[in-house]
Amino acid sequence: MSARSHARAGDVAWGRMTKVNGELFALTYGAMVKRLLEDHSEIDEVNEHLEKMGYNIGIRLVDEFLAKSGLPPCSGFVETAEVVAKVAFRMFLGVTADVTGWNPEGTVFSLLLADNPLAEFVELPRQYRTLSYSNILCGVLRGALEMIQYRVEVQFVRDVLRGDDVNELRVELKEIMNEEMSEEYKED
Amino acid sequence: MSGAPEIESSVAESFFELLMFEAFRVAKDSVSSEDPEARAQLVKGRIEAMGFDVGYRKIERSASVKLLGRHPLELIKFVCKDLWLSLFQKQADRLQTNHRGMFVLNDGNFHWLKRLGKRRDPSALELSEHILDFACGILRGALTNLGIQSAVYAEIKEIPSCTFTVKVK
Repeated sequence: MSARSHARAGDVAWGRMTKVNGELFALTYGAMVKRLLEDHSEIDEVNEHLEKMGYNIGIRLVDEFLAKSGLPPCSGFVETAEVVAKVAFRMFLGVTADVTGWNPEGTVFSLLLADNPLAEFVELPRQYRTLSYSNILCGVLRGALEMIQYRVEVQFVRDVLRGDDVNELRVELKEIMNEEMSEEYKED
Repeated sequence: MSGAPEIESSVAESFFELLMFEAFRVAKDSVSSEDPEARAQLVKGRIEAMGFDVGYRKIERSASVKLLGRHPLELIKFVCKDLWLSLFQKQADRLQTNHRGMFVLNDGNFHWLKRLGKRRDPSALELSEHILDFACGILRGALTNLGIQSAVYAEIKEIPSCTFTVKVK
């Protein structure tokens, strides 16, 4: 599928989704993050908690994705990345991401997100500068991709809330989980 | 009255709902009381407080709020119509008042309870309580930012129909 048809598929799928007010979403997330910061003394614990939370969400969202995206199965990890960026992000967050920064092996890529609906109107106080505010997205991706047999690790490497000019999620394929594992991905 | 329409961003409802349920889990996780009743009260308070934050800040960014007067009835009507519509996809069905500081908002088909469908098992009922505690917090937060101090509680008549009672302090 071409880039343009992925984008179109994203718009069509977005049209099918029941939607809620974006502020409500962002504010609920913010209220929750605030509580987590109060409950945990270490910011890293909060980052980890957000990621695990995202995982719980991602494994559930994927069913709806498969049902409503209207797409045939992807031809591989590279196409999966495009579909995540142009269709999945659009369907669930209303925004699209750009895929970039592939490594030569085709196992690591970046998602660039210009608009982050979770972080609308958020400012991070200095004491929270190690907080990966939107870390839940990393978990969502990890959970969703795991359900389609890709075990990945996702890191928020650049964050507008921390002063970077763009949001960047780095996705690294660790293992393709299927019966016939190719040599490259076999665990030893 | 004129003004640019507020451009509203949106996200998928399913994502929001899953997020809301994770928020409830956060509220439950750090409560360490052994006694189930005390636990339930603490969890309720935490969920309501999260809702309060949401409601308070939601009003902050509502442009149409600036056009309102100060009378509690007018402000609560605003909540029933504009805020309800923005949050719950429809306006509240009915507003009653005794004109002595008590208001009852009725929603026969409360949007957030609809997803429970016909489920009435204990965890569905628990979830419905969390949902309403969160909604009460949102209302109380919104009203506080509109200048009204209140206590807000909800009662389920029969899922998905419920009432929210606002007692102005």
